[in-house]
Amino acid sequence: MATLRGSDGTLQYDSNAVGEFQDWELDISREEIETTASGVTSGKTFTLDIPGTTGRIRANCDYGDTAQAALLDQVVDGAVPTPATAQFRCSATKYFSGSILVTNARIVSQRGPNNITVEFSVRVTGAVTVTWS
Amino acid sequence: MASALKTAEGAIMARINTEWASATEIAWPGRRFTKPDASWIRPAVIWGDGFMQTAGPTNRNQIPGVLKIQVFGKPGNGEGEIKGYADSIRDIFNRVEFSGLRFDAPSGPKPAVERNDWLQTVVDCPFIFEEVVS
Repeated sequence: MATLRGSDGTLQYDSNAVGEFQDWELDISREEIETTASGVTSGKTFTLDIPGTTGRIRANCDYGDTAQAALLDQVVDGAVPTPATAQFRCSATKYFSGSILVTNARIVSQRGPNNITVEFSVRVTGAVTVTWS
Repeated sequence: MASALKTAEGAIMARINTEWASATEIAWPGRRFTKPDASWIRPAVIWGDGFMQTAGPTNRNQIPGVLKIQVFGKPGNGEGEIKGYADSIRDIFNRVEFSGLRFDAPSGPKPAVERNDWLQTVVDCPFIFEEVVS
């Protein structure tokens, strides 16, 4: 039985834990490519394109946190970003990792006593690797 | 860190004690109280359901709550006095932050009702308490 809990999920970026971290999502997908031969009438056939991965990271906004600052700088700074490795951790020894680019940082300040949050949209450049030990 | 809701509640009561000074007598929760022949207030903290706000490494929980303060006055003299006290209570907790507590905008006073020979109204002061789990 799986015993992984969301509360054990963390995120490492460039070897630093993201502080004030709330949650992450990874969306790994492969597009369909139709391979139906001309003249076939019995049913369409398909194969899959190579994988592409996007993700989201949410946290209480804190530019004083090393990992958050590095993520924010990817979009705030106009320079060509250098992707770094992120580990989307289910636990210390079970995680998905890949080199990420931040495509969007959505900083939200709501009315009231709630914390100001930041949500990073990321694109994995290259492969996602799975570590499960 | 051990749970510190008792300490947080104590900080709220301490703020009332300091800021309210001798405006009226205060019926503290759980303490015996003899009703005076003048207006008085009764504070109570009602905690809501807590939730995990951040995971590691920060590990914050948030527990919302409402500070309810009942204001009692002698009936027959109009609502002006207790509504004035309600305003004073709102001023004490309006968007203030202390001891890990963040207060939001307090409610307006509830309609005054007469019960058991007292005219009373209630002010709700919602807040969030934040704790860090080590």
